[in-house]
Amino acid sequence: MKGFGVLLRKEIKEQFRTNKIVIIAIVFLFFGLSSPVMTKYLPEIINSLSGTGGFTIEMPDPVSSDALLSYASNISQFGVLMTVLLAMGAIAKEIESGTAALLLSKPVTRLSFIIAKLAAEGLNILLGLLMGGLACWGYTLILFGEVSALGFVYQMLLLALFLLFCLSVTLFFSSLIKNQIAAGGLAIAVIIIISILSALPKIVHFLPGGLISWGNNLVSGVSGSAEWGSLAVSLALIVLGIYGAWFNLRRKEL
Amino acid sequence: MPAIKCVELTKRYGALTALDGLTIEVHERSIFGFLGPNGSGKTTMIKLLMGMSRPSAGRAWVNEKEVVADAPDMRAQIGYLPDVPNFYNWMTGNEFLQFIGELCHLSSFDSVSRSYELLELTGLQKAGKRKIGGYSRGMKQRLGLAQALMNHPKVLFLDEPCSALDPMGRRDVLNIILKLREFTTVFMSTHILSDVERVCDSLAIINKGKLVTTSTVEALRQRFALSSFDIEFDSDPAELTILLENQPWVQKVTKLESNNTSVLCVLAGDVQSAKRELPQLIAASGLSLVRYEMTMPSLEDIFVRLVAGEVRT
Repeated sequence: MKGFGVLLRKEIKEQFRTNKIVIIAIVFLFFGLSSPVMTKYLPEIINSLSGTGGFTIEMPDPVSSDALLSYASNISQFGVLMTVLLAMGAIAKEIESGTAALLLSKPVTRLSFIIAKLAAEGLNILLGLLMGGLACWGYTLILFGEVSALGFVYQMLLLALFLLFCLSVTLFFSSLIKNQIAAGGLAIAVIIIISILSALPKIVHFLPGGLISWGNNLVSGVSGSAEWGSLAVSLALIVLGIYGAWFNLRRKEL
Repeated sequence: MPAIKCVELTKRYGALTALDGLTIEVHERSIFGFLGPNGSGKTTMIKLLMGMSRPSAGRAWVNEKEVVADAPDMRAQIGYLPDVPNFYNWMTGNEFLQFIGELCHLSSFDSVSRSYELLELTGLQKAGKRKIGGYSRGMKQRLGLAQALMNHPKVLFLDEPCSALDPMGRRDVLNIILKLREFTTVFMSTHILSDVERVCDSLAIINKGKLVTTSTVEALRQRFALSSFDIEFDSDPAELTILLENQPWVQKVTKLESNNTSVLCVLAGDVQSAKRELPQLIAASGLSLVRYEMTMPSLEDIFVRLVAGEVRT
């Protein structure tokens, strides 16, 4: 892990100087604020529109946990997309432009190069998730008057793990293919396939998708639905993705 | 033990053989020119010696250590300038050098002072404060050289160090390379022959991945010291040409026609006889002489002849 500290400082600086940290924060904050608003007012908007059409759609009154579920749902789509967009060029672009060759001609290992990427981009995404989450929680409290805290904290942690899994997959493809668009496309494809498989009843307990339903249950106050299998598999896939990225980079001729 | 050594180094990309069994030795504290036309395998060679690409066959040693992939300790004493150096556009030149200094285990104080030293050496004092995104190709080349020198390398690999530089920049870079000789072994690839003539002690010439020759610059000149004579007339020296072709000390006669004059290029096998007898033959021919000149082969002539396969070594 030679040179890890110096590389990590550079990566974090890059997140700020290329405005990546601002872009991620804005997107997550947008969903953090819009989720409670949409949850609260969407039924009213629909009713006011359809009221003139002669029929009404009966919908249960939204509760505060619905707002938190909506945030989680948005993150599992747009948060994932942002993660892939952020990380797809991380290694591919450095290899293509030749900066990787220059950097790796110094006394640093390829493993520290990858772990520094994972750490800096992971921190960026987790920071965005946290800011969006806090905004969502606070705004829900204002709009609904009450909101549970503990379930939401657990859900945030599980979402964080899910996004780290997506980051790891993206870094794997970014180290495999020089073209960053192709790397991003493949990462999205793999994540979507895993999400589709998560719809199958038995397998879901051993796929990262299980993390999101577990979080949703915790927020809704449904107990006894822990997905330890999903948690273990997610952690394993994160490690595997990074190991794969390291393996790819070691085979690469720079 | 030489500073750089490789034995039967070979690199194949599928059916293409980029490097074919190269065996080379470079002595410590010498400047070694690695010459070849475009696409002859120069960059591949440097990447193999840096451990950035794996050989298909053969072995290499740098600083008495065998070259293996992903060996940070080995690289601590090596400097490397890629053929087209690229940097992070969001950093300033100064920041980049300090970052590289810290990667080379310099303290932050040493990184800062060494960065300023190198910016001055490469003529980037003012540009150092600006973002690299706005640098010209030549400025990037200079910054690339600066970063390669950051760790006071014992062995320095330069891939076409003078490409993209203006004549002033080229002179500066060559002077920097000359100064390095005291403590560094320099391995530079190039196709600019005058650069090699100016700074290199010894050289290797490759063509299509094969080693054509390796020797000191002086020895190579000696070996090809076939002297040639340029003789210019203001009328057609047809008879003299035939006469010269039949002399035993003449190897080859070529006639070049220009506007009003013709030039005979006489390649002599025996220089002494040529010097003695050529003037007499010219005088006897009755032609009016415009110019008579003896020319020594430049490295360029030798290079062209070797690469074109005219001369076997």
